[in-house]
Amino acid sequence: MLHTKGLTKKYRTKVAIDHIDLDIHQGDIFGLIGPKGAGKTTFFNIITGISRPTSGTFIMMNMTSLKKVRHHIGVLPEYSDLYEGLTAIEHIAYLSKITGTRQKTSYYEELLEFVGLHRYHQEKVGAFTPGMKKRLGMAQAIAHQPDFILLDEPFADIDADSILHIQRVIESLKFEGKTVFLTADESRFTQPICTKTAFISEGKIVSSSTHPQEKTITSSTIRATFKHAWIDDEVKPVLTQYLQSVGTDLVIRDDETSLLIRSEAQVPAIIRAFVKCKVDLYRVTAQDAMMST
Amino acid sequence: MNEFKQLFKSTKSILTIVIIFILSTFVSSLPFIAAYQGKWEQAKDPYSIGNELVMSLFGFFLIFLLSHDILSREIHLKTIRFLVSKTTRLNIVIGKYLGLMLFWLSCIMTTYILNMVISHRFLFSDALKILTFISVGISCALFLSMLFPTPQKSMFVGMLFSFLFPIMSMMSVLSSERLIHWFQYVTPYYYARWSEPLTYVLMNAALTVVLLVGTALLFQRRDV
Repeated sequence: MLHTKGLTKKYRTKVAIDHIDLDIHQGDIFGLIGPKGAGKTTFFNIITGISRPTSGTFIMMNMTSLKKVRHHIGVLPEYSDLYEGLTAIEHIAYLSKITGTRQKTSYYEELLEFVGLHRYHQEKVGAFTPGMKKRLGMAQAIAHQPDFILLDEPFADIDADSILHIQRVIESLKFEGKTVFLTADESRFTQPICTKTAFISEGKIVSSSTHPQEKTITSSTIRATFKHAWIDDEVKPVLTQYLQSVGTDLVIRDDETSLLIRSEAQVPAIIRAFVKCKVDLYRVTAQDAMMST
Repeated sequence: MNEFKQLFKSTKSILTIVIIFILSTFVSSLPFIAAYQGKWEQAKDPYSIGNELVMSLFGFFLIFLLSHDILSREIHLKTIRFLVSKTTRLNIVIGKYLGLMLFWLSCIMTTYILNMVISHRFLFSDALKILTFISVGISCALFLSMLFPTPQKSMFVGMLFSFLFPIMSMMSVLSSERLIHWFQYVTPYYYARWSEPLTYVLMNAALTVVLLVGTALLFQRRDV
């Protein structure tokens, strides 16, 4: 379904993604997980035609041109707003018309029911909560019944009810044999639904695809230990959230933090996270977790 | 089509028609119009002269007032990402252009029909000339909206442009100063002086195409 080779995006002073090679096959529910600023959205934007790569290539559905696959893919981009002056039904109808797949109003009503918005189909989108907007975004992505659905941060900043609805929609897409690619900050919401996961950090894939059902993240083999100064209460939650997203079995003490990681390549990014949070580091060790036990 | 609906459903369409109609009726009643009416080959109807003068003076201002952020707003709000993932960028530019053209077509036709009620004549070729002039204005709005992709910047630049462009164009047409004289060839005002209406329409169409292609190329190069 998607094959990327050496996909790279450079801005003036920053490399957003660095030589990313990924393969997503028919029927995969593929999650690209990584902290904010890791390069997930940049990667997503490139494969959906929102931005262009600096170098590298990708093939989607065996076609090199996005023009030809547009009708076969459904995209939920990262966004801050929808067309607030339109109602939910008008919104889906408008975007479907652009795809050239206008359907009957009753079909859109069913679609809104599917994402749990049936009571709001005549409401203006401007009055929607972020979770409702995300569900509407999901509905427009699948309105033309695409084979490959790409979702950028479908679980970000939304209520629990909306998370459940979106998970349910992805589950039913999985049941229909569709292919889904999604990105997320952490694997909490993606683990129950994804069949494959890749982790991205600082623009690089730090672990190749895994099948959570067969091989979970707890199969990490390296325990990284960071001896550090006192962590300020203000930055502690941010740092904790970041560390939880890159590793498992996190233990934070006043002067020492340890976690299980998948690769030594993750260590520099974690050090940078400590530095960014203005936490002085005294010693870093990384050793095989199996040997240490 | 969304642009057309948004503009047409709001009071903007009524206000635009009222402004153009009142101004053109006022201008057509001015004594100098009657005096020169016979000399102006194209505009044999005072209301048509009024419409042309009003659009020449305030057309760019009205177009930019309504559509300065036609693309920049969507880029800023990131709603453009929905469109970009569904169709080509060229299609988006053409769609926006056609939506705005449809709105102005409705406004101008309504104004000419209102004029017709008074003058009992419908000057189709004059209406077409004004529409091609508007077409250049809309293309300029699209181009600048892509060049300055935040609503604040596009509003500032757009408003400034809508004031300066007509002034500079008229100066370049009337002046023999070489420094400014060349500018006349890139303005619709220059071609308006030509007696052949078809030339005016074609030149405006060519300017429109150049600006739309420029907008599409800029869009193509931009990450949204």
